[in-house]
Order: sequence, then C-alpha cells, then structure tokens
Amino acid sequence: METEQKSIRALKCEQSVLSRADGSVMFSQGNTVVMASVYGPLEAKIQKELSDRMYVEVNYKPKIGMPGVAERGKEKLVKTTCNHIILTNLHPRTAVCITIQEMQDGGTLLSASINAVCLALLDSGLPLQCLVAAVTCLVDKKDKIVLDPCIRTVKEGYKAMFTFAFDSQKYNLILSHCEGQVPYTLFQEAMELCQKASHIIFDFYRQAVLRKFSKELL
Amino acid sequence: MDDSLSVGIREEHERSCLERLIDMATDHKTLQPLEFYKTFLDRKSRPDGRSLLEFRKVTVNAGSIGTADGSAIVKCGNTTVICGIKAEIAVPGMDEPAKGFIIPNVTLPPLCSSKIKSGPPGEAAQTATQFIAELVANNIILDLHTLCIHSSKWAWVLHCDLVCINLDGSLLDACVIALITALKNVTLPTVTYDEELDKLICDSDQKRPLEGIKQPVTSTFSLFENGILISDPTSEEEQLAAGLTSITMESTLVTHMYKPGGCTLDEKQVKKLIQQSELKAKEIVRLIEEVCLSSIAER
Repeated sequence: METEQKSIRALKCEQSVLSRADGSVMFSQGNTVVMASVYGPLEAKIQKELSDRMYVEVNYKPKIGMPGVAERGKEKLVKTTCNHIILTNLHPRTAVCITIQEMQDGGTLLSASINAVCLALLDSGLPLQCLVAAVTCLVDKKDKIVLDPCIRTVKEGYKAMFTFAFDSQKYNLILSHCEGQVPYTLFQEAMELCQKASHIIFDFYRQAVLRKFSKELL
Repeated sequence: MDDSLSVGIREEHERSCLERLIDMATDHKTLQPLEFYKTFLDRKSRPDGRSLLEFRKVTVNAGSIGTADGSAIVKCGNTTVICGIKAEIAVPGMDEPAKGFIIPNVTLPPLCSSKIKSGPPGEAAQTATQFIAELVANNIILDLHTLCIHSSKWAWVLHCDLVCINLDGSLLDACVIALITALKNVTLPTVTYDEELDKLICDSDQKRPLEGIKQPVTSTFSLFENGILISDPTSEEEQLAAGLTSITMESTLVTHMYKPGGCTLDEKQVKKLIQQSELKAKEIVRLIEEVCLSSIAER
C-alpha cells in the first residue's frame, strides 16, 4: 500500500486576532480556514454551574445557514476533547465559552477546528493538562491512504475518512471519528500515519508560541 | 430458656449489624460514588455482577407496531429503544437523482431518564441522531440506490423514528440494533412508474421486503483513568467514567470508532476493544437473523 501524500498541508496561524476575547486564533491548514475564540473563566449560568469543575461550552458556527444537528455532533466532539485537556478542576463553578467559526471549507473542518481550539486555548492562558493535535486521513477507492486530503480528493469519493486526535504527552488517542468501512489492518495503518503526522502539528504549536512571545519581548 | 433468649438476642444483633452495613454502603455510594465503584473495579467486577468486558443481555422483538411499515423493540439490559419506520414517496434531490432517503431521528423523551428535561431535543438526542445519520449516509446499512423508483422522478423516503423509553447507558448500541431489525422488517408495496402516462402505479397487495441490508453492530465501552476498560456501561457507569467510546463493526470491517474526547487510549487498548466489538457483533448478527426469520414465519 503506497501513501500518496506523506505530509500534511501548510499550517498557518495568527494569534490574538480578537481584541475582546481571552484567546483567539485564525488558523489555516491548506485551504481550510477556521477562526476560534475562547472566553473564560466566565460566570456560569446557574443551570450549567458545576460544583467541582469548569463547564465547557462549545459553539460551532457554519459559514452558511443555521447550526443544525451536524454542527451539534462537531460541538460534542470538541467539547469532550476540551474537557480532557483543560484542567477544569482549577476553576470550579465557572464556565469557558469556545466558539469556532468556519471561514473556508478546504476539506478537513473537524481536525482544523480542534487544532484551532488548541491554539486559542494556548493563547488564552487557561491551564491545560496537555495539547491536542488532530489529523484527518482518507482511504480512497484504490486502498491508498491520503493524509490531510484537500476538498477535491474528498469530493472524488472515498472508502473511508478518519479524523484522529492525539495528546502531546504520550501521543495516545484522544479523539476518533470515522466515516466508511475498512478492515482493521488499514485502520491501524491510518492511525499510525496520523500519529506520526501529529508531531508536525505539535512542532507548529511550539513555533507559534515562540513567535508570539519573541514579538512581545522585542 | 436462657439459651433460646440469648440466641434470639444474637440474631437480633446480627440483623441490625447487617442493616447498618447496608446503610453504610448506601451512604458510601451516595457520598463518594467513584470510590464506591472503584472497590468493585479493584476486584475486576461491577455492582450488577458482570465481569469488566461482559455485555448485558440483548432482547429483540420485530414487527410489534402494526401501523408502521417496519418496527422493532430492543432491550440492552434496561436500555429500551423502539424503532418505527414509515415510508413515503418523494422526488429525489437534484445532486443525487438516483438515491432514495433514510431519515433517522432519535428522540429522548423525559420519561426515559431523570436527566432529560422536556423541550427541544437536547445534546444527547442530537448527537445520537447525527451518529445514525452518518452511518446511513455512507451506504453502510443500505445502498440508497435500491430505494430509487425512477431516477430523478420518484424515490422512497424511509422515516426512521427511534424512541428511547428507558435510558440506562449504551444508547447507540440499542439504536443501531433497533434500526437494522426494523429495516429488515419493512415491507414496501411494489411501485411501478408508467413513463407514457407519467403516473405511479402502486400495488398494495404485493409487498416486498428491502434487500441488501447490512448489519453493523455498535459496542460502547467506558474508559477509566488507570487503563481499565468496561464494556456496555450502565448510565451510572457512563457518568463516573473518564471517557467513552463506541465501536461499530460489520463482521471484520471497522465501520466507525467514535471516541468523543475523554481519557486517552494507546494502540494495544484500541486493538483489544476492536476484538471485543467483533465478538459482540457476531452474537448480535445471529440474534437479529433469528428474530427476523421468526417474524417472517409469523407473517
């Protein structure tokens, strides 16, 4: 099985783009552009207040139309990931509000959203247990694994598309979302490929933070 | 007489000790649920007596709703889901003129659990609906082309309503089994399209079942911090867990590994969960086929 594309598309980000938000980022992965903002810790509504932890709220806004059931699905995935990486026990009875705005769909919205949220959380200064990097890969009809597919490859049709997110400490699986069917060997290979690619994203986070602080110090 | 009196007093004493122990256990369970649960996990067991990777008993019943075109009731332990399918005919979409529609909708009414409030569908119902819709969209359960009557003119629409009447964990498992059994139970009238007259001719007496229904099976697992994996959690176990994952398998093909965040898994754990799901899938497929055969025999 050959891998057609061994690397992910170009990553670019600009942090602190919004003046009022505690953390914000405009993030692009190839042609996919996503903006994420973090407000927190905020005062939580009484119904949502948790006595021992911070309540994480995620809103995903599509580019066109009202958010529907598909957006709720994405929100749940991002929310449970954030619940794991943010140290929610340090801010009980408060809430954090994370908003993801889709700017341009270049094929891998879920993984771009997760990466953008991680950068926005870094920008906001909220205490994190670890970082998270999400990678999407696609198994096309000829059983070739394409890493980080662009929208043209996605529209051509595929056997399966996987999005995996890994943590920065042991590179274990935090999140998994799949469409389509493959035998276990292909699934395992896709997961290993995505795990290796997540190192590139973690390096990118480090570079982004270095750049941000070197600008501030100058 | 003295002996019987002292025996009576001793029995009284033992009974009150037992009652006090039970009270202490209930207090411990209420005040520190996770600690209480961990005492079972340490002995590789659970409060309901199951081992860590044991699934609850699954009961399936097909064709119980007479007014629906296809129906099924599934019980996974205490979790009960009813699926009813109604068919109607509509014009196919412009972008996919040769495909019919399957429209799933998962409803969690307030009667199923104390955590569900009345009002618009909450997050749990919407994410469950999205999960089923994704399974349907990728032609995994049924090839939607078989629902087409005449390309770009008429196609079948199957409205699948999944209602949970008792929520005790593993909602997705029960929903998927209910949907597949109900689809296998569906009989549609034969419809032919007369091109010259531009009319649909429907023959209600000649009913035929749907063909080519595949059988993916979902298995839900709860994850705890120190690498402990539990299968088919009850709703108490789901709340105490640090993470949750649902793996859908169709014979040996990995169909979906749905892991919405939560505590991490390494490769060995993923492999183990997939093997367990495969075993469960075999059992459930056998059960569904038995139920469908017996319901066809009844008809």
